Amino acid sequence: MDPMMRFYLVYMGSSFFTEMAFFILTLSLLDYPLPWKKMIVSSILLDVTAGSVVFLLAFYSNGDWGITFWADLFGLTVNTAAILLLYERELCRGITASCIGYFCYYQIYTGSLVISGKFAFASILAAGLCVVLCFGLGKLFRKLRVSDGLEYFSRKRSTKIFLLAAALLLSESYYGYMLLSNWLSGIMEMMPYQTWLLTALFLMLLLYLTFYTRHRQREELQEMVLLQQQMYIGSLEELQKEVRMYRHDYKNVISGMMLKAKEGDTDGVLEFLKDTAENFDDSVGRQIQQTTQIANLCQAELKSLVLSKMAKMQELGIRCQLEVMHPVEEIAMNPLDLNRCVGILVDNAIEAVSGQRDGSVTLIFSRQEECLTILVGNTIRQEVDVRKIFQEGYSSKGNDRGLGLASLERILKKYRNVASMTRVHGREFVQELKIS
Amino acid sequence: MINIYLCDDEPWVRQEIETIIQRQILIHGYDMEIVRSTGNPEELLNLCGQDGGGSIYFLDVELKGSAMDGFELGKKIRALDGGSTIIYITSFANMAFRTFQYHIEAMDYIVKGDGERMRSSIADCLSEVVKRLEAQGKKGERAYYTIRFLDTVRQIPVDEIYYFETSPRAHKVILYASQETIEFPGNLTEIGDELGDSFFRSHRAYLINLNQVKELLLKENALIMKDGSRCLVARNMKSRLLKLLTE
Repeated sequence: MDPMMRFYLVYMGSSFFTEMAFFILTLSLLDYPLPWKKMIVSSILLDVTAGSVVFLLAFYSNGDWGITFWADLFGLTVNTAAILLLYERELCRGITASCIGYFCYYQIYTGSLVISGKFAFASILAAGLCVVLCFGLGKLFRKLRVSDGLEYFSRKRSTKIFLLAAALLLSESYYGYMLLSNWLSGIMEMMPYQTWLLTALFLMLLLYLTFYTRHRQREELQEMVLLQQQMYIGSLEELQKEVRMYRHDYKNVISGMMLKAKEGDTDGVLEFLKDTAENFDDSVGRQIQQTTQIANLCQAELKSLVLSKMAKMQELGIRCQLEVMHPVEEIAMNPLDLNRCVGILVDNAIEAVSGQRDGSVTLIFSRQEECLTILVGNTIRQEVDVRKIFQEGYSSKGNDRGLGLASLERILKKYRNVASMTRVHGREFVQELKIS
Repeated sequence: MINIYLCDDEPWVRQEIETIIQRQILIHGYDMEIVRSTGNPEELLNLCGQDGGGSIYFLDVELKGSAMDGFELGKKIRALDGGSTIIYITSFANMAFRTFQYHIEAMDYIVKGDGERMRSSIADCLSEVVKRLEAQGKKGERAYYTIRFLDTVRQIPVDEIYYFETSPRAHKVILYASQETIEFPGNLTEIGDELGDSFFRSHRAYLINLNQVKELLLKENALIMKDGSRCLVARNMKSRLLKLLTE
């Protein structure tokens, strides 16, 4: 067989594995479940198309670093485009994850080559080793929830730009390093070991960023929970005061009734009883009901979120009905993600209802044996075209609403045990979330 | 003959409700009868479903006397007697009822204590049951499409469905029916297989109910359904669609 052909086949073979490694890493950085079939198919496609181009360029480069640099850049661009097309719509997260993934895979691959260099079929062995190592690293990324870190930094504009710049620089850092070492010759021989050093340094930086993010998020959450708990205690004290007042009035009412009973005025007594019962239901009864529902939300973060949303609705004069019949304790979903999902749904409901004269929002948490059902319902205007609601991402106003729902979809994609359903019945729009 | 069952652990509540129901049956000449009135939910469960179904159940929400509460009892009855009407009895005017409606499809709830309010609530419920029965009777046996969503099941009468469409959200399908619109996880091919010949896949993104087509616009590769919606037709499906519609 023509040696060039053999070379090409070997390159294609190992390139397939390295493509897989890249996808594993990038998807783990974004914390998405790995769609194996899709990955294999896209790896083959990319391998055959872009891989061949890179091979040709590298082969005819004759060691000219300029051409290999461009080939490398080409590879990075094609891979990033694949990620954006297939898995992640948002540009910042997609590009950052792709660059970091590319960098990591490259370092690991180079390192793997060093290890398997002494064996036959070195490059395919290295590629296989690379996949295994990347899989392990991917698991680590998931455990550390690096995607949260990415999410956190891609929220603000300033940090977004910083993140993108850092990622892009990182992915081509190898060449930057080559350039540098060209001027400081003699370091070239130590090259393979330098890649290990670079990788280690980078990973430490990533770890630091991840822990920093986690720490900040936990802090923010605790602040919110504290604030809400203060409000909660405030409303409980209010309730206590009302009950005491009621008890005081109650005694007067009873003695009034006893008088009427003594006089034989049974109609008067019945009237009194009816009024009292109604009165109770309307004031204290209602508040007790509300407080009981909230008390059934045992998880502190969820409770705080619901309380804050209800306070917001009260401020805006929107009627809200909360139902939590059975206690909601363990939820098979990360509290931060759950809060974000419920928050987005309720915010959308509030937005839909604002402007309606007698609009209302319903919020139900129903914990059954098999799963937890969360229902967020809101009234919709008569004139709204139902078809449009579903086609345009449930928004009849502007593009900002769509963003919230895009985030919701992204979070739901992460979990295999969570499903959502949407329904319009008459004048009500209901979003259902089931967590098994 | 519609059977009525009553379950409340307080005898005076049962007494009051029985009286009201008997009165209503007499006044309106309903074909109904109170078959059992008890404080023991197990007793009701043993009888449930054995009478041909479609009975009316008045259940206490609390049921302090037993291990089962009203909610569980309702779920079990709904499972045994799918066509039954379940009405709850409660002490609270603003009870959390949506949860009952969602999981058990309970029709309504009655607040105990105020005789006049109870009477009118029960009267409304009974007349509603009769109304629903009449509507059902006219249509006869209806075919339903069932949407299974983890632990709940939603049934839509097939003759009310206009069409299905793929959703902009991944792996989801939107169902357009006369009474409601639902978006749920699914795919058009499977639904098409399940529903059979009355539904036609006119386009990659549309599965339409042939009985609900109003107009076919051949030049525009579209058709108009009876609710005014516009569905696309793939060019290679046009001739087959035309043939099916003219049959």
